[in-house]
Amino acid sequence: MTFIDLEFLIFLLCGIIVFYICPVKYRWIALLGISTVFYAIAGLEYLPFIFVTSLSVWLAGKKMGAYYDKQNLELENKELTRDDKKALKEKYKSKCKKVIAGVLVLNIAILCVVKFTKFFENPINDLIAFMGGKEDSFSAASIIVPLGISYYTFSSLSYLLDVYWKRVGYEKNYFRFLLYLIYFPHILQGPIERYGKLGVRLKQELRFDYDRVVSGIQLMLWGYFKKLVIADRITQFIDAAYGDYWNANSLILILSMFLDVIYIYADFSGCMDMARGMSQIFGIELDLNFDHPFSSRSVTEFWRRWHMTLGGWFKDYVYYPISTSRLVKNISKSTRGKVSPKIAKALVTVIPVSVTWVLTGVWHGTGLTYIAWGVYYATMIFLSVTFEDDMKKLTQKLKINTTTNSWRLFQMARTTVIFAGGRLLTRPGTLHKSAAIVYYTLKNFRPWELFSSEISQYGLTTPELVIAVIAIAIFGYVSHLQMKGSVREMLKQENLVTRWVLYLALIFAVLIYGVYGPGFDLAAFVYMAY
Amino acid sequence: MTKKQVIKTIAFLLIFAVLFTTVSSVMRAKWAEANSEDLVVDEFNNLIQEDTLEMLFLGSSQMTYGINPYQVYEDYGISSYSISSGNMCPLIQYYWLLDAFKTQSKVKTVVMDTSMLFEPEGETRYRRALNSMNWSINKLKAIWAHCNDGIAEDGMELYLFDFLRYHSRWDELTEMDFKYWTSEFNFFRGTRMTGYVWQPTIPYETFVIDNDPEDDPEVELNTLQFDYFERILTLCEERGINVILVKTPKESWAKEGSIFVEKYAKENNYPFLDFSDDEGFRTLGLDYYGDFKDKDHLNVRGATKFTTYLMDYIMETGVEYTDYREVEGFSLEKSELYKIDRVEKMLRSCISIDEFLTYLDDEEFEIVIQSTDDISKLWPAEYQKAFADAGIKLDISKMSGKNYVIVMSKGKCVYEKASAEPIYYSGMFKGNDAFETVSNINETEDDAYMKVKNVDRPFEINGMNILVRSVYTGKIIAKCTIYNDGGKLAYADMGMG
Repeated sequence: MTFIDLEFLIFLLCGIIVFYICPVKYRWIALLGISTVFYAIAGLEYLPFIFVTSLSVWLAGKKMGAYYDKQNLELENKELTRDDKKALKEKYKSKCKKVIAGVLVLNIAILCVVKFTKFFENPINDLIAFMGGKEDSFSAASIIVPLGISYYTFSSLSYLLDVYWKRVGYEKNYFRFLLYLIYFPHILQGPIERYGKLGVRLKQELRFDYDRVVSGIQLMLWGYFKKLVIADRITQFIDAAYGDYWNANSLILILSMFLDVIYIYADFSGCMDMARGMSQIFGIELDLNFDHPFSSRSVTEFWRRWHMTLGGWFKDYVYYPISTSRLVKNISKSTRGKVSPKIAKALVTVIPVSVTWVLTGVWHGTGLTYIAWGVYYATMIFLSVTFEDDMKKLTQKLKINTTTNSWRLFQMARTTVIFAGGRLLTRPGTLHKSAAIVYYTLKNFRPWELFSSEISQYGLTTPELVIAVIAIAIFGYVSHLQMKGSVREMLKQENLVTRWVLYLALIFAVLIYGVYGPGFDLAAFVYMAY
Repeated sequence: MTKKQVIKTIAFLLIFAVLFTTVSSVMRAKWAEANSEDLVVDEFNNLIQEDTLEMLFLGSSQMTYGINPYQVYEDYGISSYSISSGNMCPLIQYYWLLDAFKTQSKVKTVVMDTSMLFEPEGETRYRRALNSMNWSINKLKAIWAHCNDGIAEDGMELYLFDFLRYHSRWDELTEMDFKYWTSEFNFFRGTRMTGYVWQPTIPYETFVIDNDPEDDPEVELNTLQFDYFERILTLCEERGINVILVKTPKESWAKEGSIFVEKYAKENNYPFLDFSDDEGFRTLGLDYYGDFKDKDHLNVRGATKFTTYLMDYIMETGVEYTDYREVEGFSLEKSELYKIDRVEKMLRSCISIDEFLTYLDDEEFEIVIQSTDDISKLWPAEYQKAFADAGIKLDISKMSGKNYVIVMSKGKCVYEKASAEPIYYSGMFKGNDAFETVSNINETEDDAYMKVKNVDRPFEINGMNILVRSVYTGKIIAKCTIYNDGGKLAYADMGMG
């Protein structure tokens, strides 16, 4: 059941009614019930997985919390010396390390097995055959992939590490913790919430607020517009062009690459708007996942604005731990004075950047394309960081005024092109196809065909293309307005008739022009496979 | 929530509901003609008094075009209705029948056409008739049965909210989607008359099934539809209603179907009137070249013959029916409109000069006659008599080398002129629709024409060109030409365009 299914909308409506019928005190329980039902509808076979993760992590958090409570109690002893206190802390940290290690390994192992087994299906079958077993007896398709496993595993790991690092206190109530993990608006595609934020929000009094509910519905509607009218429409063009890459005009292929950028943004941010909007209806704020990423002037900035919660997760739980690890510290120490500062900086950057980005790539998908994607961004960011000063000197030398709008636009365009390049590694499906698309983009340069009827041969009729262009223009305009502030708040200042006309126009735009229903493949959310 | 917020919410939802309903009806696929199936249901529910029907005709479009309940009333006094719809399969027929029985408990006979028993599944088998059912338990049951027992690939939600199915038609919308047909001239107790005469492209021998019997032929029976066919029979039996099975002639019907139904009917004691073979044709007196509107449906002429034969048969079955012609206060709704429509359709379906000339003095029509070829030498006396009876003084047989224009209005000749020179005439039809004509038997392409409201009404053949317009609807009913066909006069239908 995805957010764009009618069954989901009916489920949501019933859930909202049940939620608000419940007394305020028990609304969190209603939310837990609704979320559990949602998860069960997705597949009863998934429930054991989430219970194993939630129980193991909660128990570990409880155990560590108990250790820290004991530690704090013992630290109150005024007779302890500084060394005593240090030893005490080391003792309890060591105990916590043993607790966390096992649970981390367990849950990461579950994640790796369900996600990556299909990558190793052939080698596993080869091994079975080598050992005398039946050929092709193992099928990765038989492995259950629980709904949202990447998201809830990361959420649970972040809780575990935050408790370990004493960034948050442990949750005493298992069901509250389960709610944090299984809370249905964010389990499909994120955002990846930290316990310190979502856990706290879920404990607040969840009272009905008319304006907030209406605002949530508006946000959901905007999400549906982006997903159904834009993303699911233009993806057909991209599929058709990439499916015929050897014949397609270069300009069609280039257009597809940029439409793919719009597609992924509209699809993913659309889903985020739906998730945040419906969460808002229940009175829970979810973190933003996008902050105008295409206004970024560098790749590094881009990834601070795109899929922010994932980027933040990897930064806090992979990048910083590695960059402050003993290994990296030793490298820094050993190269001090022996190499130039630039090379020294590069050496301490390359490991955490590479590991972070390869893991980010692998999180997105199994296969060489995602590893290549990770390496691509690792390279881009590494080069960006390493040559940052050189670039500054170059612009000064060339007397380029970097405060102008044109320079800013150039940087934004450059960043977008880099992002499009990254998408080109994964969207076609194989690296070979990605390379072939690049090859034919260079080879099939026939600009005169762009203005012929050729463009309407790629999955979309002329009326569909017109709708796509108009919808993208609206998306762009609203995004531009959003840089000045909340568009929903701006709309509130308008007259009632204006507001209602706009709302109804948006509703009917989604209902009429949305890509859904028979005749269209239900375009799965891009990030739902994670 | 404050009171203001409640009011705002309700108001917004109401506006949305109205807009949604309107947009849904625009988006809904219209299949053949706008909201035609809706009219069948609407008229049944709104125009027919409770417990006044004693006969129902059940089936798909074969019944829509093949039977005439008004004729059934006029000639036999029986009050009947054709609950039929294009492509309607037995599953939906069953639920339509159930709906009909809610208000009609005095039905004595159901005549059921068996055309849909062997038709493959398809969306139109269900959608056309299902969409137009009023929301009721029966409609929900029909949707459920189709989606769960049938082979429907779409879910119930696509029927409960058919907007989900049809929203993607936004780039296929035509004028028809924005029209809402009113009931006036379109349906008469569930059936439509059409004057169109099909020009067969299939030899007659291929069209009719051969009546070489074969025991237990293999037929690909649609088991789901057959199940509902039997449910209809059971339902009627439980209510003490007689059932007569019929098979109207159509091209896409195989003899195996007839043999199967005949065997079934015999085993279960149902009369089965099969008109799909040559014997059936001859029994009805059907004219293959004049009684069909297309390869699967009878036109008004064929329907008249079919209705007559069927009713004669039914009257012999011994069942007593109320003669509603003698029931005080009872009259068929829209009877005046029916008469107008029938004459128009009969004129439209003319296939011979003799037939056509009988309508010359009909008060329903305005007629413009021009000459674009000399047929005077072939013009017989009997045709001239018909002209004279209609009040036309010009003797066509003496119009050798002459042009002429004749205008008839509501049965009276209001203008006639003959001249060796081309004749231009312009006038006004009722309703201030201007028309003009130029008559010229020596015409080159631009010399002769017929225009109505400044729109050219071309005739592909030269001769005596006749344009007929309805006084009541203002529509062009027919264009025809009487022409020289190798030394004898022939009649050609020029369409209505």
